[in-house]
Amino acid sequence: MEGTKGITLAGINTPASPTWNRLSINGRDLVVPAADLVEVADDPCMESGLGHDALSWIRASATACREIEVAARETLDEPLEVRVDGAAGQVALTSVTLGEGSRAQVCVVAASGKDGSAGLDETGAGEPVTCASRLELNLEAGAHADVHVICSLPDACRYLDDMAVRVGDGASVRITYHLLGAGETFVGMRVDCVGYRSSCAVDVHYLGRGEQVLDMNHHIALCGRKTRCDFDAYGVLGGTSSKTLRDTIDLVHGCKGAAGREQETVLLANQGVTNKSLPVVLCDEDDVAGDHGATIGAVSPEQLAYLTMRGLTEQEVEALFARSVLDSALSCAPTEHARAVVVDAIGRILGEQEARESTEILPAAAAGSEEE
Amino acid sequence: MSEVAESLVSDVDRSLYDFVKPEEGYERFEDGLSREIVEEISRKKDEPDWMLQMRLACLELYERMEMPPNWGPSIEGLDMSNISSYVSPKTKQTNSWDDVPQDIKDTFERLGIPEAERTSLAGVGAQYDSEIVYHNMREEVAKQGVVYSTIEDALHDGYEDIIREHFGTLITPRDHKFAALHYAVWSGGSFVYVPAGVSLDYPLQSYFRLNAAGAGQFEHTLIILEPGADLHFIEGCSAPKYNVANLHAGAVELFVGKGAHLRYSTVENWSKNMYNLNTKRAKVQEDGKIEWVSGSFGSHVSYLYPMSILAGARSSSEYTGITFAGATQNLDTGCKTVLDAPDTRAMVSAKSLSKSGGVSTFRSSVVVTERAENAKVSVSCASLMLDDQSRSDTIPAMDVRCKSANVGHEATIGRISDETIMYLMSRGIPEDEARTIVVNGFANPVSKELPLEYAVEMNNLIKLEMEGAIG
Repeated sequence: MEGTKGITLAGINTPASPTWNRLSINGRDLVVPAADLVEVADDPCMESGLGHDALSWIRASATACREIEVAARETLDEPLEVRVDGAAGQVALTSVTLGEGSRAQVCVVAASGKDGSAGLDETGAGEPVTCASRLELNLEAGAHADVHVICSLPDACRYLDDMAVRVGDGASVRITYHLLGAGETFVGMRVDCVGYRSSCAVDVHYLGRGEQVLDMNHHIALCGRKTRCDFDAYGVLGGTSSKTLRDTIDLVHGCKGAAGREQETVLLANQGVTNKSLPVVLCDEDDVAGDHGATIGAVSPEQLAYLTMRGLTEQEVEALFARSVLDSALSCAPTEHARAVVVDAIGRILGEQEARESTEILPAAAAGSEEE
Repeated sequence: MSEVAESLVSDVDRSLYDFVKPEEGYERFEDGLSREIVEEISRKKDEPDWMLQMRLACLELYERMEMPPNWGPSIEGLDMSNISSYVSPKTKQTNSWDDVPQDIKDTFERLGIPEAERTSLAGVGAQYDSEIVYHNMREEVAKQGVVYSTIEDALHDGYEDIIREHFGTLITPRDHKFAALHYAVWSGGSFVYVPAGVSLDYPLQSYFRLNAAGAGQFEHTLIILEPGADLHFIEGCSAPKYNVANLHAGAVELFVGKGAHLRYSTVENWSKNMYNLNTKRAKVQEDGKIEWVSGSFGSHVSYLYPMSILAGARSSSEYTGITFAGATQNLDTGCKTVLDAPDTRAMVSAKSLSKSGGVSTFRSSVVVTERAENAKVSVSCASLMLDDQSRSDTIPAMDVRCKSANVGHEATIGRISDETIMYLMSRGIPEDEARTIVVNGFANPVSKELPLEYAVEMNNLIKLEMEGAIG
């Protein structure tokens, strides 16, 4: 459906195995700024986590395109940074190929303004500004990549993050998301562990505040023999935020000896929140192991009693859990710009005092990340 | 080893379910659906006009509705123009097995129903194709005010008001396409009413046998438990295997009053040409409890998700189920739970097995509304893959909107470990028997919830399915 204001992208974040439609968990349509959609051929090696329409739109709307090749056995000293300026509605398209045995860090940072500070009207009036990033990562044999995605945008922004990763023989990828804010955040990820003994580890951390919407679809396909994946998601939902997390471990026929694990923990910090979870295991092979678990609820009475006896209010206890997400983001942020964005987020969410204290420990945090 | 394997196979009576009785003299409506067919069904039952109008409205609804295009096993092999919605033996319902026609009586004797009734049941309803042929209840149970009859009879025996108040309200015709079809052509099934405070010492059972080829069975079960009542209801079903499709689109509506307790057990063994599109739903009031025990072994395609709506404070539900998908089967089963009141509890424990190319899907949904303060939910699913030709998927959805609720979910998928088989074989147990032992152990949490006779039947079904499972 096209109009003067925008076009509709159908089936954003549709999971590999949809379920009852009345649960409204099967993906959704999204109206985004108009663009002449590029016809995208289905690439079995580089599928889209967000969906075909989203991929077409990102390719058509890209304002910053980069292709990077890391030579075989080379280790990049500095992280490859992709900056997405939310205020400018930037759309970044990045393709990285890691040669055999090479290592690299990639950092995608979505923030507002050149210095990472929020520069948009926070009232949320009018249409959201849509920005996006797509990262394609091809790991050849024995390569390793660390990918960090940090999103800290004001409520006036909508962010689409798409990732497609292909992991070859003996290669591995670790992907960490810290989703700290935006009016609407759509994250789609597709990892194909095609090589023998390839592996993937995904950590997702998120905060939901106000009326924010978080919508995620992570699909990990274990195709090669003895492949491994670990998926962990942890988040805190406050205000009247809503979150939908679909994570799929797909044990494809032929992946004998493969093992997949997924675990989700959600803290509900306010009565008005909405949490939807769809942890899926698809199994087409017998000699595999798959398991998943999910825990959804509030701070346990025992934990609450322990902390309130030490002088904290219930709200302060819940804030501690939110702080843990921010601290994790700060310790993982691999570049100065990324760290500045996180400190800015701490200031907006917890206050300037907390942000200053975070700045004081920044050298220690930076040293910690270098040691890793 | 082959001698031992032979004796194992000879222990299981293959003809137990897969036998056919001739339909000579039966009344069989023409295949397909039409207004005239629906009107004729209603006329045969001498129904009140509101029931006829409901049927006709539902037929129109069925013709307009579509199956969901984006999930669930394919039912493209089901062509309603080749299905007769009404087949009836030439007999009237009776409460004495002596009055049941010999071939039908023989059917149920082979299935063990009369013997079970004599030894361990409070009452039995036996349905053959589209009609109940036998219905009886112990006198002492009837004296307690328990009503156990067909819905058709209950409509004429002074229960029309209570039926009209409940019928089609928990499972509405708009629920899905085959719910609409069910309400258009339903026939047979049971009406159970248990007065307040009455507890039955023995279960009631309904058994559904679909003998005709290319036919559908659309029984409706309506159970109403008044406050403080207690009932165990058992449902069994089977059919011989044909080369043409059969359809089962039944409905089960359960109303559990305050402080009442209902256990609903099912051992489903439809033949592997059956499309099983059954709908089951319970609504539970304050302090009430519903327990589902479900064994699914048959059908070519199954859509089966017993649903519990916990509408009253402190109400609870438990679901214990096992699904075994063998060759040519695509069984999409699970459960749905809605927690809509404070202090509600739900526990789900599901097991599934797949072999010989079978597809087993565990599909569940847990919805915790904002009113379900302090609700607690636990969902556990374990899947066992018996070979690399089969498939097992787990698709659990959770929608939680109450801060004080606590929801936990876990699932595992794997196969029988080689070490376990080697251990048993090293103690002299042949490989096929070792695998059967492991599978029986895997199924034990479900079978131990069933009365002994049904647990034995379930174990026999597992044995039947396990033949040829080596390698």
